[in-house]
Amino acid sequence: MNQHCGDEAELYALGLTDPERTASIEEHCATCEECRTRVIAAEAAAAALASALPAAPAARSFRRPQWTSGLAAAAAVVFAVTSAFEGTALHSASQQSARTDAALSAVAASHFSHTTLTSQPGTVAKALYARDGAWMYVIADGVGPGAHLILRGSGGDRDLGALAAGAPATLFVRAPGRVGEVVLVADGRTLAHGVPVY
Amino acid sequence: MAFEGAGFDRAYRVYAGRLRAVAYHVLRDRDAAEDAVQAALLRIWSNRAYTSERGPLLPFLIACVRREALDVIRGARRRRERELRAAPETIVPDPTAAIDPVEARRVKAALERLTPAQRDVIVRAYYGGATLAEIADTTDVPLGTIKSRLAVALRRLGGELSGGTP
Repeated sequence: MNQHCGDEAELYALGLTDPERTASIEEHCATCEECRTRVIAAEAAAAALASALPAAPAARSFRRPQWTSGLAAAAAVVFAVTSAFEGTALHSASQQSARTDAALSAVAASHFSHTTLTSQPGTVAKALYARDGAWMYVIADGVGPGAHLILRGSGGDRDLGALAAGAPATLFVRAPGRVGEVVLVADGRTLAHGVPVY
Repeated sequence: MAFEGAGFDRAYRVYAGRLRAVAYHVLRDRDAAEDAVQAALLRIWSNRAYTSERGPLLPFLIACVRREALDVIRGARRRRERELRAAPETIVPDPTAAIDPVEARRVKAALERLTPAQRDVIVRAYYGGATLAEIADTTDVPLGTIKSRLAVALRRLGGELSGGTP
């Protein structure tokens, strides 16, 4: 499809083109800067409209794992990495692009994996981790405040830190190395445990 | 450096909330909304669909999530399922209840500078979740006119928001 997008650039940005037209617009915009620029401007206006929406109600944390797919979770994390900036999303495009490029390269190179931890009823926990041990990200639903991630080794336990409360509660650990068993503990009680495979 | 622990965690939280709100507005079901967000992110990631040339990340993600959610609705309509439906009310959202109240006030003011017909088509299509055919039907305006009116209205809104002249 080599035809310019015309008014459909805006309709595409609003999600109002059918799947076939969506695919052809995406293909066209990969090579046409003019149409790409128009789509980017339309998406910025659509994103402004989105800012006026009310927040979604909190996800159901117990009935259904929020992270139904480890790969989807990994994808979410990748996009979090790509936007590892301070504060809100109101940074300049170039600043954000530079960071995104750096982060995407780093993630693409780091080959992460994931494992679902064996959990107590009511808790759902996953660990995503770089296979070279550069980072680990733990996501847990159904844990209260004060949960810690413990690295269990032959030489004793090492506390990797407290999870930030929330639904899900999360903890990012930088450079944990290739760890053995990790355990999620709160008030001396084991909530979940598992062993990453590198 | 790419892996800043605090920024990493914080950025995920910032984006997940917005993306869920976008999907929820279309789907009106929090589980379906969460699924749509994950499906959109998974699709983008597995297709390597985002590069820096594609512009700022957040507007791109918002557009992808909304498209994903609308695809779910379209699929449900085709299957004549009733449990998932578009938002029934066509109203300009209340900035005080918005995920970004400051930006929402700017958007509301910018919408008020459009012509009534332009504002109406944006509100119906974006906040009301109406399809183009439904808008054409309700307003008794040809579908082609609705399409071009919506495109012009969104361009003009963008111009108003970035401080340019329409």
